[in-house]
Amino acid sequence: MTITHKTTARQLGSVLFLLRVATMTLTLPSVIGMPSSQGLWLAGIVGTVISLPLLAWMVTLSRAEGLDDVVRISRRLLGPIGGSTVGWLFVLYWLILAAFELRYISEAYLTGTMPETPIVVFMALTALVSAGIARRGIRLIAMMAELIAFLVLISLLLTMVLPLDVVRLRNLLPVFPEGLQPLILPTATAVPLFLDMVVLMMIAPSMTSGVGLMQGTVWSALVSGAVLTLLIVVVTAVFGPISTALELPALSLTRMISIGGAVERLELITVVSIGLALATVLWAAATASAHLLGLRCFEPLVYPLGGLAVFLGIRMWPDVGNFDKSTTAISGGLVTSLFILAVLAVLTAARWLRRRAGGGGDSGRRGETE
Amino acid sequence: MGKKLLARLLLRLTRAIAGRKSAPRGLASGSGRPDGAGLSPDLEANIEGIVQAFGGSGDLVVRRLRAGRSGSVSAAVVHLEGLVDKDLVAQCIIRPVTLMTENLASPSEVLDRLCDALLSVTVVDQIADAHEVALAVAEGLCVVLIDSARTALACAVQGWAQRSPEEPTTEATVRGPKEGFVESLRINTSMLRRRIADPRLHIEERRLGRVTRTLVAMAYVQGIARPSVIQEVRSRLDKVDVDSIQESGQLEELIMDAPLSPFPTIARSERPDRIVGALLDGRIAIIVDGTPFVLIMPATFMMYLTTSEDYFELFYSGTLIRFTRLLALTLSLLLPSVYIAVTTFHQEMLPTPLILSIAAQREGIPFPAFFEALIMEIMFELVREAGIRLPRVIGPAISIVGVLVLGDAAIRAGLVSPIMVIVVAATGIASLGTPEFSLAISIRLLRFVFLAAAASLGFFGIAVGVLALYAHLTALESFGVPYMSPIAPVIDSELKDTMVRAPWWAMKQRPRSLVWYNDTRLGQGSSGKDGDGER
Repeated sequence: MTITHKTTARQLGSVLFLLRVATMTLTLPSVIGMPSSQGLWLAGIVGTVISLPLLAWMVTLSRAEGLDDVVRISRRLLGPIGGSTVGWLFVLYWLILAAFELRYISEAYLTGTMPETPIVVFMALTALVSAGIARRGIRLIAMMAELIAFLVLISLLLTMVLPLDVVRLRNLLPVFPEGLQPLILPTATAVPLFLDMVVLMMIAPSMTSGVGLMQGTVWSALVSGAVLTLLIVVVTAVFGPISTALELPALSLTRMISIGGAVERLELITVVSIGLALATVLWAAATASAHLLGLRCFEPLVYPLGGLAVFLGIRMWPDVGNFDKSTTAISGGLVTSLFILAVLAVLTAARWLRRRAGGGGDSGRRGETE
Repeated sequence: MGKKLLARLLLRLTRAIAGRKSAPRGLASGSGRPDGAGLSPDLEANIEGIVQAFGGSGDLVVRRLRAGRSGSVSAAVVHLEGLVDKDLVAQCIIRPVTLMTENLASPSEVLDRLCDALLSVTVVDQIADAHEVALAVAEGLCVVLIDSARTALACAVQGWAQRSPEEPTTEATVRGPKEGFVESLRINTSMLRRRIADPRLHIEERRLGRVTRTLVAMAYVQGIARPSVIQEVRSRLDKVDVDSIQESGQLEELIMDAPLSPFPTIARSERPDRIVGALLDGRIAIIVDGTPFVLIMPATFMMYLTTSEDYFELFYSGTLIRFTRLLALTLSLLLPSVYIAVTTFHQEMLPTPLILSIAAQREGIPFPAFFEALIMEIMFELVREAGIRLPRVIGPAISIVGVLVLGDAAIRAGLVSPIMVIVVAATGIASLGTPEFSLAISIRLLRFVFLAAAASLGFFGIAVGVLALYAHLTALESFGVPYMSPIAPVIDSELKDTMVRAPWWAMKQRPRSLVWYNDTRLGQGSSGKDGDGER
């Protein structure tokens, strides 16, 4: 067959794009709570630019380690105890991410249209379907992502283009009313969003080549960054000063569209994209857990981990107020960033030390040769 | 002459299979009868054996003859009435046997003389096994038994009543050939041969079904179809162990990839032009004797939204029609559930005048929208099913009356709202827009699932359902080819023939996921009046 059973660069790009773009663009955390929004587009651009080398670092480490996954790399470089600790931290991180995604999509429906339905119904159903997808492996997720990413991109572009009649370009002026200093916080909020793409270090073994890993990652970061920036511009141009007070700016934007009212329901595609993103995270958590537990297959772990994500999603944020705070809090993003950067730094250092000691740091160059 | 040629071909292919397989004609494995019992030198004993094998069936004809100088040789012609061409039997078998006047010394000389010189049929086979003789008779061959000979002659003189090719009723097109497959495998293979006049069209035949011993042919174009797929189809056919194959649908269920999926992973068609197109794309066709529906594999989802007409019209119309079909498919799947979701949970989606109008119409309806939709959908399905089963003369009339009377009465009785009738009718019309009946049935089934999802969770339920459905479709494979290809995974070169039907001159390559090495469909200089291949 000419159809490869490996993940292509475009498929990886689509998976990573979906992983971040749906939540990122709908909540626009960079916008919320800022004193002004005219210059926030710069935060989107700078956030993307800062993220690119960090993502390239992840890719380079994966390629240098023969496109192995991050858990195996950690165990190889840090030993069984250190590596397992890192592995379990990643599992926890992905579980929290899954819980967040679940809670986010469920809250959106609960507050938006169906307030009487228990939130656990939304969460459990989404987790069930996503776990079902995750159980089939990354190949299915990657194949599905290509079309869904395209549709999400189109729907986001429509969201940005259709409210042209209510766009007021003067809302974008003055460009930097309070200078550049207030942009530090939103920029710092944007970077962790991209760092969530660390899941690429679990997908790496299924890639066709190391070059593809780099291409897919860079493509997804650039497209996500462009969408984020454009959306900030359009939201600011439409809502002006009140845009920083909106809880779900992108959804508010869709409500400005007046084509029969039907385009409001772009959230339909959001559910699909978040479902797929959740499947990716659950797959990563299950695969990592299987490695750590010494299991041959990850499939039996997917549904229990999905259930755990539902449990965490309910217990971690007792009410909607807590959850809303967490979507805008810089602290969560900071912890995420520090964790991922620390892991990358430790792994790189361990690799360097091993090479210096002649311990065979080049554990495989599969990605480089293809 | 044509019949003779066909009969000869049949017997040769049967022989070829017999030479390749350990159980020729499928007689040994499941028949429960001992193999290898040779014919007796006693003519009467052999005749008695055949008569006993058929349980004294009334359609078994045994014609005793005297041949040779002064009638020294006793012979018998055995066949089943209705399965042979009587004129051929009389002219080409009985007449030469009775007119044989030589005084031949041994039975083997008689047989050789008959076989080599006298019997004027195109295919004559020598059979020494008693059970095989009975099977040959059952297959419609005419058997000549000679006294004292331990070998019988089986002559291919089959001829039975069969339907002439007509326009397919399930795949009618405005433009394109009006010829459809019939129930005779041999006529069907000849239709393919006429359209692909190339020896690379290989047709492998075998008999499946322990009791029915149905002739099944597997057709592919050597050098275009992937050998791995050919082998996979062969091995799945080899594993079929069932007592009867009466229709290709039975075989389809036995060899398909995901037997529990509601979606068909093997396509079917009764149009030779469609099968030829599929063969030239690198697919494999399975023809089953006794049915005009030919199976195509590997199948992809997009195949079910295309018809051969798309390729005969200009590419603009072909593309437009495909988009219309996709719209019809989406409507037939989701329209009632979207209506339920909107009226139950998401009223803010509709403009105020429209939602007020719907609310006014629904006033006094005792059922929730979900039950209203469910009742109407079930009624619609009943009327449709009844319309199919009723005699053709009154079927359409009853269907129309049923729909009009039931719909009108239901509205007047206040059981359903007019808007619901519109929604259900539009859904019904849309479901007829799906070209492949098997896919349309699956969609009808899933429509009820989506109705329930929308009634319980509104758009969220629909979205989760769509995600699950898309995941299921993407996970499906048909003989190693992803069911949703070339959309999932995306195969750029094959996107020219999905929703958009690119012009012929732009589709230079066959589908890469299907073909072996010969992937060039269009040569240079075949692209328009300039003939330079450039666009």
